Amino acid sequence: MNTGSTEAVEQPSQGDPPVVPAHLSRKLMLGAIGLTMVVLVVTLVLALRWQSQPFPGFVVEQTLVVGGYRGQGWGRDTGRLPDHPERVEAIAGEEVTTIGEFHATLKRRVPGEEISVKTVSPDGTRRLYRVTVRPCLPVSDRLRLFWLPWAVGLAYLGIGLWVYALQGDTRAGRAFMLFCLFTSLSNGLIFDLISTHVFTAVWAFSVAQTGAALISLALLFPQPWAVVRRRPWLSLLPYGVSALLAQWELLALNRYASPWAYIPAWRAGYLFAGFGVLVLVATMWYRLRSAQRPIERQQALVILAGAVIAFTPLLVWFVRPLLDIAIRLETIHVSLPLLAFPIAIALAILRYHLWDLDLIINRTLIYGVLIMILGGTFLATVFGMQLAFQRLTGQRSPMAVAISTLLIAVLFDPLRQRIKAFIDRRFYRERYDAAQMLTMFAATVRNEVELHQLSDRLCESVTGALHPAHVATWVRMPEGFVPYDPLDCSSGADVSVAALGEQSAVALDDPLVDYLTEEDAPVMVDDVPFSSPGVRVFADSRTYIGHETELLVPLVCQSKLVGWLALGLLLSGRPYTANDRAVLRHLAMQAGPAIRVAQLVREREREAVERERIKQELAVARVVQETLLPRHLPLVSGWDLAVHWEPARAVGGDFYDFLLSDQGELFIVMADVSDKGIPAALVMASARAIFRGLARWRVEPAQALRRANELLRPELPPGMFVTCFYGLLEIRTGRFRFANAGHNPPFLQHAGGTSELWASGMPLGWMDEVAYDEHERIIGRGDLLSFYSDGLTESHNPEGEMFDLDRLERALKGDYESASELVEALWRALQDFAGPGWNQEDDVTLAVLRRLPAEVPAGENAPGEELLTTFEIQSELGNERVAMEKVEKAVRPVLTSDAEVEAVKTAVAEAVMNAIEHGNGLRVELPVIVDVLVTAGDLVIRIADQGLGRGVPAATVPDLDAKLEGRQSPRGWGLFLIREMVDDVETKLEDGRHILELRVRLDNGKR
Amino acid sequence: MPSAKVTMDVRHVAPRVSVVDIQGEMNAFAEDELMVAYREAVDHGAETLILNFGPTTYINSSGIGLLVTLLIRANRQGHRLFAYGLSDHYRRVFRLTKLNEAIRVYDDEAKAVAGAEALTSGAASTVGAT
Repeated sequence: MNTGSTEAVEQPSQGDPPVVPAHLSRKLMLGAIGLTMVVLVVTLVLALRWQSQPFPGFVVEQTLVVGGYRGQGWGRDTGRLPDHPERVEAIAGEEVTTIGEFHATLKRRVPGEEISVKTVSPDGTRRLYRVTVRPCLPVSDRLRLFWLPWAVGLAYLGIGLWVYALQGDTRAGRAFMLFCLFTSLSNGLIFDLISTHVFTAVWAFSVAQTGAALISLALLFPQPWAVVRRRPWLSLLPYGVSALLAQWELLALNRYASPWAYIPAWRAGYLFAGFGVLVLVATMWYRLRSAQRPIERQQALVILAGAVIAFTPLLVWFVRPLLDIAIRLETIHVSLPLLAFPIAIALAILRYHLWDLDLIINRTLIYGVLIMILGGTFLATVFGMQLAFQRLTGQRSPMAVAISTLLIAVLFDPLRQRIKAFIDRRFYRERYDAAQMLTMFAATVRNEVELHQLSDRLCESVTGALHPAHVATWVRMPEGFVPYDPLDCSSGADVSVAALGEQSAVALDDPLVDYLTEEDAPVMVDDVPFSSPGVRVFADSRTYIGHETELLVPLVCQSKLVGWLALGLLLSGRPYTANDRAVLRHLAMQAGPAIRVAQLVREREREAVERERIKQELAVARVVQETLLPRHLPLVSGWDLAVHWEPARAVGGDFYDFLLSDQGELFIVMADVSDKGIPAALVMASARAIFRGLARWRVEPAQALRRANELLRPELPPGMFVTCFYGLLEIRTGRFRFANAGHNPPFLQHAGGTSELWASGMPLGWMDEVAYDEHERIIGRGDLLSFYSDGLTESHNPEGEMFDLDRLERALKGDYESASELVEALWRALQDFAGPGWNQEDDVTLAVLRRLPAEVPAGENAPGEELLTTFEIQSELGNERVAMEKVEKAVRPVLTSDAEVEAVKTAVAEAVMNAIEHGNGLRVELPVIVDVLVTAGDLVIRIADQGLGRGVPAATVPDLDAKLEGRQSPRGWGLFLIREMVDDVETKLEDGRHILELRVRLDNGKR
Repeated sequence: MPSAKVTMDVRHVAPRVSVVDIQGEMNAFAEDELMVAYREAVDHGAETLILNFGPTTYINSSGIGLLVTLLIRANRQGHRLFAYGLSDHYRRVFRLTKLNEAIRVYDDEAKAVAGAEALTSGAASTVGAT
C-alpha cells in the first residue's frame, strides 16, 4: 500500500529514522504493554470484587455525578432513582464528598436495606430518593457493562501484540501497537469508570491518547508518508495535543468543588479521538484511491471498510454530547463494532498472504490451546480456592483470584513452550522456515542444470519464503544481462522477456555489474551510489514491467557476476529485514555456481546445435551441388557413359556436365575450380551455368572456352581459376571436337593403344583474351575415353607417394565390358593405393565414355538402331504437351497413319504425366528424360523418371460401370490408355531410374 | 505455372438442351470450368447437356476422369450427357473406355440436338447416334 512511485518506499537499510533511540523505544513499548496488562488484570479483579458488593441501583462517576447507565429493573426510568447529571450529596443520611466516602458508606449497608440518597442538580435543585440496596449487580448487567468491553479491550491488546511481534521494528508497527494499547484501555476500563474508580485517570488519559494514536497511525500505516519520513517528529505531534487534553481531564476529575467540570474536558477528549478516526478513515480513503497495484487497493479497501464499521458508532458516541443527539448508545453498540478494525487488518493480512499463512495458523493453534488451558486452570483454581477459603474462614476472599493470577503468570511461559513443541511436532513436522527453504533449494540445485528450471526454482523459493510483489532472475547472456522468465507474483503469470523491451537489458560493462560483483550481498536499489543505464532500469519504476525493484541480490561465481535476483516490494508492505537479506545471501551463494553451471551447459548445447546446423547446411549444400551435376547421364544410343564424383569435403570444386542437343550432339564439360569446399562450390555453380548456356547455343569448343573465360574472369576472386575440358561429340559418327583450358587431358583407348587428347590453353580466369586450340578425333567403335581430375593423379598414399599418371595408365589397361566397369576399376585402384583411413585431399572426378562395339547382341543396341530424339522436360503438369509435340515431330517420318501418330502422342502424354506426377513427385527440378529411337524394326520410346513412385501399386483395370456406380475412382485411366495405344509396354529399373518403354511395331516398308 | 487452358461456353440451343463448347485442353485443370458450365446449363433448365469437343485440342486421362465425374453427377441428378465433334482418335478413346456407352456421341450439333429433343419429348430415339 504505497502512495506513489517511490515516496512510500521505506529505507529499511537505515531502519526508521530514530525519533527515540531504538533500545529506549523498545523498553518504553514493553513497559507500556506490561502496564496495560497489569491494569487489565487488576481491573478484572476489582470488577469481580465490586460486582459482588451491595448495589444501590445506580452508578456514579469520579466526582459523584450519577452515571447515565441503565440496567434491567433499576427503576431510573420511573424517577425512583437519581439520574445524570445529578450529584450525590449524602447517602443513608451520611454526607459524602469524595468517591472514597461514597464507597465506604455503601459498603456498610446490607442487601435489602432501604436507604436515602440526597442529590443536587447543576441548577441547584435538591432531591431525596429512597432506594433499596440490592445484594449485587445483576448478572446481565455484568456482561453488558463489564465483560464485553473488557473482552474487546483484551482482543485489541492481543492483536496489537501480534502486529508488534511481526512489525515491531517499524514505526507503523509501533504506532499500531500504541493505538491497540489505548483502545484496549479505553474499553477495558469503562466499567472501572463507574464502579471502583481506581483507574479513572488512566481511562481519561487513554481516551485522549486514542485520538493521537489514530492520527499517528494514519501518518505511518502501513508505510509512512513522505513528509513524515522527512520530519519524523511529526508523528509524535498528536501525542503532544493529547497529553494537554489528558492534563485538563485529570485536573477536572479531582475537583469535587466543581463536580461537572470534567464533562467539557471529557468531551474535548472524545472530539479529539473522533477527529483521529476521521483522519484515519480519510487517509485510508486517499491511499485506496492512489494505490497503484490492485492488491494494494484491495487491502486498502478491506481496511477502510473495517475502519468505517468499527469507528462510526464510536464517532457518534464521541460527537453525541456535542450535538446533543438523543440516541441511546450502550457500550455494547460501541465496543462490538470496534472489533471490525483489527479483524479487517487480519483479513487483509491473511487474504493477501502478507505473512506466512503457515506461521499464522501455527501461532493461532498454539495460543488457542494455551488460552483454553490457562483459562480453564484459572477458573478452576479461582473456584477451588474460593471454596476452600469459604470453608476455612467462612467468607470469600480476593486472595483466590490473586493466587490464581500468579499461578497463571508462572505457568504461562513453560506451558507455551510445551504446547509449541507439541504442535510443531504434531502438525508442522516439515515446518517452513528459511533454513528449510535453503536446504530444499540446495537439493534442487544439485539435480538441475537446465537454466530455465533453475531460474524457476529460484524464483519459487524466494516467492515462497518472502512473498515479494515480483521476483526475476537476471542472467548473463552474450548480449548483456537480461531478465530470465520473470514471475509476476501478484498475477501468477509469466511476463515474457520480449514484452519487456530492449531497454531492460543491462550491458555487460555497466558500472552496476562491477558494483554488484564487489558487494556480493543484497543491495537496495536506492542505495546504489551512482546512476547508470543499468541502475535506471530498476530505479525508474516504469522501465521494468511497471514494477518497482527494491532489492538486487547478486549471483556470483568465482568472482564473476553470473546474474542477480531482482525483488520487488514485499507484499506485506514491510521492508526487507536483515534476516531476509541473510537468507537471500545464502540462497545466492548456492544459486550463483548453479546458474554458472547451467549457463555452461547451455553454451555447450548451443555450440553443439551450431555445429550441427553447419553440418546440416553443408549437407544441404552438397545436395544442392549434386543437383547441379547431371543426376542422370543422358542415354546416348550407341554409347555408354559412367561417372564417379567424390568431393574432398561436403562440397567440392570439381564438376562435370553432359548435355545432349536436338542435333544428336553430346556436349561434355569436365572442370575443376582451383579450391575446395564452399568457395569452390560457389564458383562451380556460376561456371556450370555459363557452360550450360554455351552448350545450349551449341558454341564450338575453342570459342566456348574463350567466351567462358571472358564471362568468368570478372566473377572469380583473385587467385582462383578454373580448369576445363570442353568437348563436342557427334553421336552418330563419333567425331569428337575438343578444347582444353588447363584441365587434365582425357585418355583415349583405341585399337592402336592409349593416347592423351592434348589441346593447349590457359585455365579460365587467369587472364583476358585467351585463345584456345581446337582439336578433333574420331572415336571408333569399342573405344574408351576416360576423363579424370587432378584429385586422382595427385592423391597420396600414407607413404607420401603420388598416384600419378603411370598408375592411371596401368589401371586403364584391361578389358572392360562397360564404362561403369572401368570407372569402378579406377576408383578401386585409387582406394587400394590410398589404403584404409585415406584422407582425401582433393575432389576426384572420373568419367568414362565408351562407344559400343559394332557387333553387339540383339536388342536396343542392335545395328540399324537410330536415335530419333532425346530430351528432358521439367516435372510440371502441362509439360507432357511439350513432350507430345517433340515426339510427334520425331515419329511422324516413321509412322504411316495419323491414327498411329495420335495414339503414340496420347501414350507419351500419359506416360510423361505419370513420370511427372508419380515418378518425380511433381518436383520441378527433377527431369523426365525421353528417348525416341528406332531399333530392330520397332519404334521405342523410353520415358525415364527418378522412380519415386516405384512402390505405388499398379491401378486396377478401369471399369466405367464400376466408376459410375462409385466402386472405383473416376480417375485411373492413364496406364489403361497407354496399353491400348501402343503394342508393348515395359517397365524397367536402371541405375535407380524408372523407365517406361513403349514399343510400336513398324510394319515392313513403312520407313 | 500449370493452369486451365480451356474455356467453356454454354449455349442454350433448345428448351432443356444446352451445348457446352469445350475450347482448349480437357485435362485436370478443366474441372472448375466444366462444373461451372454444367451448373449454368442445369440452372437454365437443361436436361440434356451436349458437349462439343470440336474445338478441343487435347484430352488426357485426367480429362476422361473428369467426364466420368460429370457423368456420375449428371446420372444422379437425372440429366443426360451427349457429345459431338470428337476426332477419330478421341472416338477411339471413347470406345476403348466405353464412355460412348454412357455418353451418346453424335456427328454434329444438329443431330445431337435432334436426339436430345426426341428424348425430352418422350420418344426414346437413337437417331444419329453412333
